[in-house]
Amino acid sequence: MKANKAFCAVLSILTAAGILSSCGTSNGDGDTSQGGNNKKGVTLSYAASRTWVNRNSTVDDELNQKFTDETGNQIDFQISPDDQYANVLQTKLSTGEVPDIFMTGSGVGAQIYKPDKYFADLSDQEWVNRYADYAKKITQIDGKTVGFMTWCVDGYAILYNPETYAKYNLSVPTNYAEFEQVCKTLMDNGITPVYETGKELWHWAAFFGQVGPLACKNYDGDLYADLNSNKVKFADIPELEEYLADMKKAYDAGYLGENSLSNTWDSAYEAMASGKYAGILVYESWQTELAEKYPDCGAENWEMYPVPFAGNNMYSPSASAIMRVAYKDSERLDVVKEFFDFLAEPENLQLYYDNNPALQPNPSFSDIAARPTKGGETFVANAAGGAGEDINSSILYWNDQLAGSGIQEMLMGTKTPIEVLQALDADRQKMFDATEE
Amino acid sequence: MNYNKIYSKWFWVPAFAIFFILFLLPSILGVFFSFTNWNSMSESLKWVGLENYKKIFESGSSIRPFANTIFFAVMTSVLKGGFGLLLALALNRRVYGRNALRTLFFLPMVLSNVIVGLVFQQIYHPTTGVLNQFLNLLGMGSLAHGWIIEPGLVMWSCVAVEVWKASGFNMVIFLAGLQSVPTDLYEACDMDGGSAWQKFIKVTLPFIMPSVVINMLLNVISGLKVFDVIYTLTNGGPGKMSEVVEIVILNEFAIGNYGYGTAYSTLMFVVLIIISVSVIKRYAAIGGDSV
Repeated sequence: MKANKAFCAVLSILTAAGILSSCGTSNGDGDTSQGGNNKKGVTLSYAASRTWVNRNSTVDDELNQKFTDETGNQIDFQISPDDQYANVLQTKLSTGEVPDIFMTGSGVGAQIYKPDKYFADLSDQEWVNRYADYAKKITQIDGKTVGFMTWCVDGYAILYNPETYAKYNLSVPTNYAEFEQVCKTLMDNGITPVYETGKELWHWAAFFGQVGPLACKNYDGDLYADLNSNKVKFADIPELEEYLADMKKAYDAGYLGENSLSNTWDSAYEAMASGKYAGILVYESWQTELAEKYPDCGAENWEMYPVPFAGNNMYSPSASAIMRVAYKDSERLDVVKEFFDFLAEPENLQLYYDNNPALQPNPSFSDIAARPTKGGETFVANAAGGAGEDINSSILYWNDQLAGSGIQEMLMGTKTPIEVLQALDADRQKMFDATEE
Repeated sequence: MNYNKIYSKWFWVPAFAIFFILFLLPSILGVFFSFTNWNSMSESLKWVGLENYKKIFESGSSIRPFANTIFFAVMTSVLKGGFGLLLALALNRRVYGRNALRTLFFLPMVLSNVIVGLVFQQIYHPTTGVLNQFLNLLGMGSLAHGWIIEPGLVMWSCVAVEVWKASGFNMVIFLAGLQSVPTDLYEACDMDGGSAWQKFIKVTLPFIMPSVVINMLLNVISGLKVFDVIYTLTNGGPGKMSEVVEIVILNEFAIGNYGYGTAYSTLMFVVLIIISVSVIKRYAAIGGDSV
């Protein structure tokens, strides 16, 4: 009897110990060799958001395999869904399970990942000298280059079919009144002026973000710096309120479609190819994707113009792009740098950009030839007011989801434009309060 | 040999260890963090006392998520229970294909909530959705709506999905309860000239009361914890019209405001504990613990 009791007790403790030990942290390694430089057979962990790698191709897998063939070192992709990637990455960082390589947005958006603590200084790498000017600027934090970027920055504007506009003698609108005239004519002819993918909160945020350069231009000082130091609030900027009011007017008039709050981003390709819609708010290279999916619609010849709300007439590229970051305290930092060197080889860069048409208009490396889209060229040509960076990637504690839901509330009439801005300020204030020393 | 004696002394250890490490400890830590400024930007934690809770109660925007959560929990509990009971009563009789029908009604329960949310997103689409197309086909186009984009309808649409999905689960529990009703009581009731309604109220209901209580307990708790169905169906939208507490917590964590998010989650934890303890006490009072 006593033996049985003792046996059961030991069994219970061993079971508990076994289960608990499996909950412990691993070194996240996967190495077949440890320590020292120039390791062979090392596995690098690499965290990325789903649509940031292998975009309509398998080029990232191909390059990883090529790296493995050349060096014997492997890449272990840790892919998360787009809408959860930021949460997953922050959890990994805060629990100490930091990947050797992780992708983040550059610029102000990278601040939430504590660059001082996690980002390796890559300033002395050879490929930094080959960066395009904008890439050099937006991958720097406190004067140090902290990201390896093979991306492209471009802006959002209304992409339209010039043949449709020509058919009804319409010209590019430069303010809301002209936009209204264009929309009325199109609607009288059975065409919805703009296909808005309004189910996606981030898309409303992108819509709103385009007013940033205009607001900066009219502001006495550095608007983004003042917003980021909490010296000024969104609600204090009249252009933002006017822009939102114009969005609401356009929505109420049906210019953005009857059921736009149900439209998903994925549905936009088919909708635009159908010819039922005259325009859509997209990034400059989107027309390349559309032309690939629907070659007959002639999307490669479509043009773009700035969203003319609140008199906006400016080119508004993002101040951020996706970059790869090397974990500062990784035991395999030397292999990570070797991997970045490998990706930066001209042949590999070319392969990467050839397989990423959406990134070709404005590559981050100066030795890769840019292939601007017709939309991008006309966007710049139609932006008589000049250029500036959009809001979304320039503002600390900006959140597309919160901004998008606030705008949706305004469209449904439960918030006024100024209340949307006040709500955005209140959400940011929570973070300013939380980080107050 | 009395094996029960051994089990009672030692076999609770692994289960308790798992429960403690994976549930109790994080919950206790969560309560602690809710009194701090824990966020993604600061290296150090600062004790802020009740500041996070104060902000929740002071903020006008906190009312809707709590109201939506309670609305969802109450409506789904009542409707799932009601439909589940009707199905159980119907399928407790000798009807053709009874087992197949029981399986059919239970089947939605095994589907992933994410898949259900995405499928209903398509069904509810105002122009391409099956629901409106079906109404139009029947000549009832005036009843067609933007089911998940109209502020007044969106929460009802979310409730409908949950009721469709989980009524079968309620049915199974009620069916188990119905097996405990002695048939001779129905015969006695028949002899006394009792109507079907009287038989249900006087005979069936008292015997299935434990099933009612356990169904309500599970329904209310799952309703208050709702996340995935609403997240995939509406993501709390349009605007914040269908935002529930769990989505607020996710959003706060997404912007790195962990302390504030944890305060929300602690509040929900307290509400769930109060409801659970109350219902379990009620369950014990009506003798459910002896079943």
